[in-house]
Amino acid sequence: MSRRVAIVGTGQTKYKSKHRTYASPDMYFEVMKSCLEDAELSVNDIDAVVFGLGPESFDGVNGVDKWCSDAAGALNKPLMRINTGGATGGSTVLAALDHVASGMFDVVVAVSGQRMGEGTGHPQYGLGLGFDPILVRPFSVNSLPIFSGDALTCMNKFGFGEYHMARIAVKNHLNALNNPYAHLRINTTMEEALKAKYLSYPLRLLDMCPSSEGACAVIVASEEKAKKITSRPAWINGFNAGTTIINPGIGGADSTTTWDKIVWPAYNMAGIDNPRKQIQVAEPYIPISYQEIAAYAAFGFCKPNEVAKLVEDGFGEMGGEVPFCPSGGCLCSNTIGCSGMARMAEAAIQVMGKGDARQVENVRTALATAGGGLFGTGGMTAFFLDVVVLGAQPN
Amino acid sequence: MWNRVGIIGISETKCEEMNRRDSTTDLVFRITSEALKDAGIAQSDIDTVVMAESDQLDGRVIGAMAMALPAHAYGKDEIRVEDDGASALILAYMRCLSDRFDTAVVVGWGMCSQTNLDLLTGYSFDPFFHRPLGLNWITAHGVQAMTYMNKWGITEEQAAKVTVKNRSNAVNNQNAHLRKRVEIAEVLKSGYVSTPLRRLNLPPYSDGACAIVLASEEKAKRSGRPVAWITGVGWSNDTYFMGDKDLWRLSSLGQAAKRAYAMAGIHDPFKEIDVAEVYDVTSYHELMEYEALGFCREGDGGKLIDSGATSMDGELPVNPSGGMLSSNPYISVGLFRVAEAALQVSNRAGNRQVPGARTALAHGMSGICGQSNSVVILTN
Repeated sequence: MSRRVAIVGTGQTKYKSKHRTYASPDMYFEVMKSCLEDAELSVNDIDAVVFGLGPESFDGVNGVDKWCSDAAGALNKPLMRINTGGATGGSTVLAALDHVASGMFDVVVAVSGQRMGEGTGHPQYGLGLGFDPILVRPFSVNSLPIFSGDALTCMNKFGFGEYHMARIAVKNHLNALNNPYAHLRINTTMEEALKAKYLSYPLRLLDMCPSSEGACAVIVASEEKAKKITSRPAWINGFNAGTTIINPGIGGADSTTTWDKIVWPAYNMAGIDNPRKQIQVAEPYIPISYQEIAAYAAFGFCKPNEVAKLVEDGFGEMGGEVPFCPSGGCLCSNTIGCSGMARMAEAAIQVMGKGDARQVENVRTALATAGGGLFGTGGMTAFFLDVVVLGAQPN
Repeated sequence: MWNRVGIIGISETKCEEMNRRDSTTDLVFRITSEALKDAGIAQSDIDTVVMAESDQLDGRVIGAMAMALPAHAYGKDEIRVEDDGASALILAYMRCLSDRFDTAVVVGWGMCSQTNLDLLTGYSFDPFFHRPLGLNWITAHGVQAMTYMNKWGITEEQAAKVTVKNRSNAVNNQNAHLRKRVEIAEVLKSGYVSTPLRRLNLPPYSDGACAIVLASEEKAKRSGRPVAWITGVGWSNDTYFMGDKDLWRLSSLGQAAKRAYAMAGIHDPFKEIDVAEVYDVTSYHELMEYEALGFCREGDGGKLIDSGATSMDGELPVNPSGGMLSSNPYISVGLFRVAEAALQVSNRAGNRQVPGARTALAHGMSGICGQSNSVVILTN
């Protein structure tokens, strides 16, 4: 990479089912304001804006980026719109990084969000429109049955059960209690999690993310500017994005099968050869509990047959060996357009030491991911993952 | 100052009213394969894929998910810009500039036959202030054209000349959708769709796709292909609310051009640019674009078309491909503009070649009333 790039500020709205008090421009204005305040910058310091937004069928307006560009500080500035589905927020941060790494801009805002409650249909109906119109859509599938099949594959393959999924669900829900932005803030217990109703076997209510509205913004800056803006930038030391095909169920493949291929180039770039020793906190894109368990192996924290033991040992809990999802993660707030960015913002918050009640101690390196695409193009599944490794020191 | 990045592969489909042969998947696969073949590279040589596509236009959410694989992105870095294709090209350019990627593929497609573009663009308006007025891309552009006419005394004849010029250029472009010459009288007789816009002041609705391969300097030189070097890019965004801006002026295009010219070291665009491909979303917009791009003074767009300077044998031919007034695969329109500009500077434009074209400008637009604009400068 020609230039070093760092995250110097973050902003988030509270995530909730429906923001009844404001229209979309108000939401983006609020998130930009809090992001600029966090970095102690004014809108005049921003050179360009990258706008991430998932499917507009949720928002009920085409080109929300154009409508809300004034509110997002993009008046008379370069504006670009990114949409990669669930990975949108992550891809938007990477596009902002391209703006800076190319040498064309010094300070760029990546902003993303989604109004899940504005469209006329249920979000799952909207997601159903992602399927192939000829081969798959007639079966009225949506993301729930797809993920439940994937969860069963993972359970068989990695040797974990509903108990382990409940442990992760409870952990993330309790973490969310310390995150003022989190959507679901449920003080729950193992007993409740194991008794919660099934949405689609083996996924119970507490295993599954909500459908949230909200927005997130992240400011990325060149090395020179980053050092001026803050004494503790979160350096983007490694990053990668990749698209792979998974053929679910065939040859034992699951949604996490190819994650290691995408994550390792980012580790290599950041000089990480032993993630378990070198990463202090991880905020991966985990909308459903079972994926975190599989992620322990996919992200190189253990061997595939060790994941159940890691869950039992509380590996990813606050105070555990490597805390996973200190914010409560995607499981507690999932806003399609900005979930990926919220993960990267949380990792930056942890590196910058701004995590308050959910701060993990001595964070030198943090991992964040954004993922999208688990719908078949006629049996096949395309999956894309964005990865960033943030460090307290540039490498 | 900047690393050099060039265009080494180009492919376009023929634009047509309805593509009955290809599914979108097949179309994207075919067009990407052809661009790779044109560049003389294999899928394994690609570092990153940038798609330009609209979910709404495709009738499918998160279209990138379904189209990443036909766009040859398997195992690759991939991103989708849900904006005009010129925006996607600029992102791919930045990715190559950052040293991380050497070869980028940009793919854009628009299948207007699968949707109702008028309805779709109507939903681009906010639900509170604009939408109750029943605006869409045509009616809003009609309002804009009217303010432009009133401001500078632009006549319907002057706008008709743009249609006549672009449609006659399209006769030489085998990929254009409408390839029939029209006369001024014919344009002026065509019915009003939204005053002052007549049917022939507006583009058709087309199906089409375009793919472009970019490479860093070393790779581009090694390819042995004619290279169109990108020497300047600029893009900018105006306010959204129609009442908050001077509709007769495309101010964000002016800003975008200024940035691109500064980067490319262009001081007198009319003299230094040999050929331009602009986003003629209506014939009035092409005149406004002359002004914003600095080809003439503000208000002189009508005089410039009268002078014949922008026709094929003029000093600065504009839209030798026939432009958007001849082919409108929405969303990929800007990418088609870049493709044509690249063909022109690499002397590959066949019987519509502007002789000795060295520097070309391509323009992409998105949003309503020219809210967001991108400019790309290419040279050989």
